[in-house]
Amino acid sequence: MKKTSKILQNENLPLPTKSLFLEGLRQLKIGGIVYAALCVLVSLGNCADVYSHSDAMQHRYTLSVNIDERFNDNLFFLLFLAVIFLTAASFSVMTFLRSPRARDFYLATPQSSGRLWASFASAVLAWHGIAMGASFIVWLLFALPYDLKSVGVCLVILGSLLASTFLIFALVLLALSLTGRLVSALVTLSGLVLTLPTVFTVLNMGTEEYEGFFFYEGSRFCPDVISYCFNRYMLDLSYWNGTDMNLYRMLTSGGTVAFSLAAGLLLTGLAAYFAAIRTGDATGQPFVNRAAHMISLTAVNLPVACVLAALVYNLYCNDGSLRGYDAELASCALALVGTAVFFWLSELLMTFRVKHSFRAVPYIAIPLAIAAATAVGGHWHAFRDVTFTPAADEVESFTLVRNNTLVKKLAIFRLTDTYGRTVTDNWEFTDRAMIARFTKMNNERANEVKQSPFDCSNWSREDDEYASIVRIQLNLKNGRKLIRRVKLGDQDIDALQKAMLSDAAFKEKFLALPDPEKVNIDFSSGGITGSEAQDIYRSLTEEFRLLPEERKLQFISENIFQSAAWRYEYSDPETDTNYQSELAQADNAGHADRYQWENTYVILQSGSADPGDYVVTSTVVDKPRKEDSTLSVHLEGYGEGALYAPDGYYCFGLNVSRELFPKTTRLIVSVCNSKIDQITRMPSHPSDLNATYFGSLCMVNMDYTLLSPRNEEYQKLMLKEYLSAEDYDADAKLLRYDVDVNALVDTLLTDIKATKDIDFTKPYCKMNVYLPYYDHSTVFWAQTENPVDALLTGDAQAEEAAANSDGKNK
Amino acid sequence: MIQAINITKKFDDLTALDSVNISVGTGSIFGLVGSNGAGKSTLMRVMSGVYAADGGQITIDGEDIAHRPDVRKHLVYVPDDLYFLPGANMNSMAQLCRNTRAQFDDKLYESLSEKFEASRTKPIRSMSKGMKRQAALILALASKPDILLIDETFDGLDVIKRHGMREVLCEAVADRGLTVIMATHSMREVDDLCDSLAMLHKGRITLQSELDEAKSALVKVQIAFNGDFGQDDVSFDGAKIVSFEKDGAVATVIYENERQQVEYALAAKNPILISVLPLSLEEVFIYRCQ
Repeated sequence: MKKTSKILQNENLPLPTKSLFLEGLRQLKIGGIVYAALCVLVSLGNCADVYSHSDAMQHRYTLSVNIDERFNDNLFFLLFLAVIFLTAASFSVMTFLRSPRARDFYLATPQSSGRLWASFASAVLAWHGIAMGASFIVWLLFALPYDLKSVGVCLVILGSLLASTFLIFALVLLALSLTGRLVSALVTLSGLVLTLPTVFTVLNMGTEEYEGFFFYEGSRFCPDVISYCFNRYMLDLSYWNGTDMNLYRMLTSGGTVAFSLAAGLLLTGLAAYFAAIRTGDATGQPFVNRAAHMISLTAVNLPVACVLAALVYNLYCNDGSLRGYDAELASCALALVGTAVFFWLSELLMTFRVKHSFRAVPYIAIPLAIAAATAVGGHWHAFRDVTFTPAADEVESFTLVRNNTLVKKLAIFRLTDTYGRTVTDNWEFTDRAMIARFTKMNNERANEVKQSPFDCSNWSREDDEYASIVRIQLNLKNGRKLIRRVKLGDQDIDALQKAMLSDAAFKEKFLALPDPEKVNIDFSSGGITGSEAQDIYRSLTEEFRLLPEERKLQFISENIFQSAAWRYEYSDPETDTNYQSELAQADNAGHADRYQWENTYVILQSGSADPGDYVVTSTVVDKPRKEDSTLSVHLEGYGEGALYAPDGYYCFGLNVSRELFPKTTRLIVSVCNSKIDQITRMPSHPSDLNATYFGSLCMVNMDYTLLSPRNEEYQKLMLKEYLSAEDYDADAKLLRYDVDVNALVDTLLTDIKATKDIDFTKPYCKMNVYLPYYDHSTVFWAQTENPVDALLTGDAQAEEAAANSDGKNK
Repeated sequence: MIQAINITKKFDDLTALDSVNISVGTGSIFGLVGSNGAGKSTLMRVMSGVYAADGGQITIDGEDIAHRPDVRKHLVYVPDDLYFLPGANMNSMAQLCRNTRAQFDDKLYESLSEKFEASRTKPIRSMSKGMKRQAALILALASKPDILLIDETFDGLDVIKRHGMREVLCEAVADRGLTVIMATHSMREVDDLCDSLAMLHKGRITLQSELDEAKSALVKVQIAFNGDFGQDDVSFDGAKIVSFEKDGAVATVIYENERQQVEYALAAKNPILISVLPLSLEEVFIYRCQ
């Protein structure tokens, strides 16, 4: 303790002191307040945007928003503001590092250079923390009234933001500590900021289209927000755009947080070191010392050197030789000259000494060597891995890897999984025939690659519309794991499915719903209590257990193999119309927009359509349908996404077929009836199991406006457009009667009312409209007989036809 | 007491200070004079801890200030090129001084501001050069240092303010033993204020002594003889002639010898005119630098 105290009292240690820290806070007061205010404004604007979206949605009992998309803009602006503030504030308060005047003042005080540095750096960080904290409070104020679970999410966003901005701050500190002039500090900072993205880009070069050691094809995950923003927003590199990774996910990923903190601490330590050892005469000079000069020069030029390395590498990889690529050779030569010129210019800019800048040019070898080593290293590692050819008996098992393993392992939030996928992803299959098949595929590919080691295009797996690309992991007996993308034809898929289901333990677990005792289920539909939800779910699992295997498969299977087996459909025998569940409209049962914790499963997801899909369904709620053999009770608590706290669990609505789950259906109806005041009016009251066609348990009695005035015009246009489109979904019953769609739409639109104005004792119509590029459905209500007439006409015709047929038979 | 012991400071190929030794006693005013580029400001920065010396050490009451920033708590340095926070007034600079120095005296700050009619709320950037320097001196004195290093003390101050500032400095020296080291080009200031001085030339100390001693280090004599005479005629055993200028029949000679010795030796040569003239410090400085 005494020793620690003695060490801390060492004036040369770069530790903050109270008086200097307070002085730093004081000097940055105006800038800090402005920064905090801007952050609050940005957050307010974003939350208001989120709020207005939820206001326009059907259900508002939770703050149902697509958090990553909605908050993306917020995060980007906050990051942008943070970069500006951290840079400006640091440059402003640490003038003693670059201004001789300020140096004469501060270094003559009884404070060491290190203590000054640490105290002022802490002050900058404190204001930054205040601004982020103020934003956090804004998010909380919006989230708390809706969903207590969102508090945890807000905390995670806050922590992630602080971690990423800490890395940026560390770069600023390092740039200031290495240099003694404003220009050289700014140039060095630019170089440091650009170095990370370009190094990661070059690392990627050797692993392009391939599962490399750092990055995995398809997601190009890079644990660095700077690299992400740089690559996505500045370079617009396509391989970023084709992924599920957006800024929110990048920021909150465990890998990013860990990397940011680790790199930030390392760089801050380096900056502190240079701050502590620098003497007063360094201020006013371009760099503190020779080492700082080299670091700065390398950082500034590494991005350019990496571009050159990338050009040369790509050229060489096309063929393995340089023959026949004159144009490309010329590009490389030009790039080399350009790199040298850039190097010289950067040196000139930082030192303002012409002769000296020429003498520094040979040092270009340093960034070039690093760039080359990075590219070669990446390539070599990737090649080594790609060409590894294990024997089948060296492989112990294989695992299906659905998502980027690195992301999955490091992500704080798991991507939404369906239960079936969760079981599948973690399972080690030991079917020897399938292992032999995969091993053979791998080894054939590896031998192809060996023939032309520098032809990286040969490593790629092009998507084949007639085949499925599946990512598998071969688990070797020696502990090594190989991840490969394999192309599977239909036969391969069948074989794989059979192999998976031949594993008795897997099959048993796969064809089961999660144990009710081990899983929390949250029906986002309002009004259902936790225990009611548990009862419903328990009933479902009991009935599910008794289903035939084929039905289980139908219920559970997802589109791992791009098959249609998972679609849940039923046919209306009366109308001979195939109705697909809303689930079928979604292309991806495990919608990847949500974040869940472990033990969270999406049983069935409904209520969402991918962009590009649109469905118009018209449900005549008051129309009794006597012959209906299916009760579809939609327990959908509509939500495209939600703010979930770390321990939240989520289960989307269930489309429960009365045929498959009679007991559960009865239970659901019973629950519905017990909440008659809160639900849509059923045609008969209380609801008649046999008569109800389609009900919706939703909180429609809440006071909200369905059609927000602001987007009414837009919605009208969209509605018209999609109803009149040729390739509408056949599920739209209206349309089979050759109704003048436009006229009908106009009628409906004029009849549209807010829920509170609907007289539920008279015919009314509810329409769910899913609009492309609009991430939730909109509900239209109309007090109108028009669609009812149309449908009645149709049904009357069918009834008449049936009656005539019966009469004839008699 | 503050001492510079064998201080050497280099910047690349340039030796700015070469084995500089000075010693300044407590409660005195020390003048540091020198030609342009002699190294005065560099020495001030080394003594204040801004620069680290490449050789030698700076001690305050025997304690080396290198690696001991806390030892500098009794020292305030007012450089030639002043620093103020952007948009600051005297009050905000006072706050900065409070946070960087523990001994800042608010009462003294207020009384000095009133004495010199300095506005504490006016933005410093709108002040004249002299007013800025005045503000810097007030803030420095209010920090109650034991050692005050000032580079170009009264640069820009008007006569009245200079007089006032001199009074304040002398009071502080007399009352609480303040030690002042002033780097200056103005010999008048040194003559008026300093107890001792050092002359710096091309990084080396050429003279260090008490003020009176410095003045008496050279003797200036006007002399004339019957007939023509040259420098040899005015020389004697042990004579160190610094300067010989003849204007007509009268020569002005400067000796680096004891006055009595010069008078006695020249009297023996029977000049028709011999007159010992007072030598200003400026002249001492000029002749020392030649």
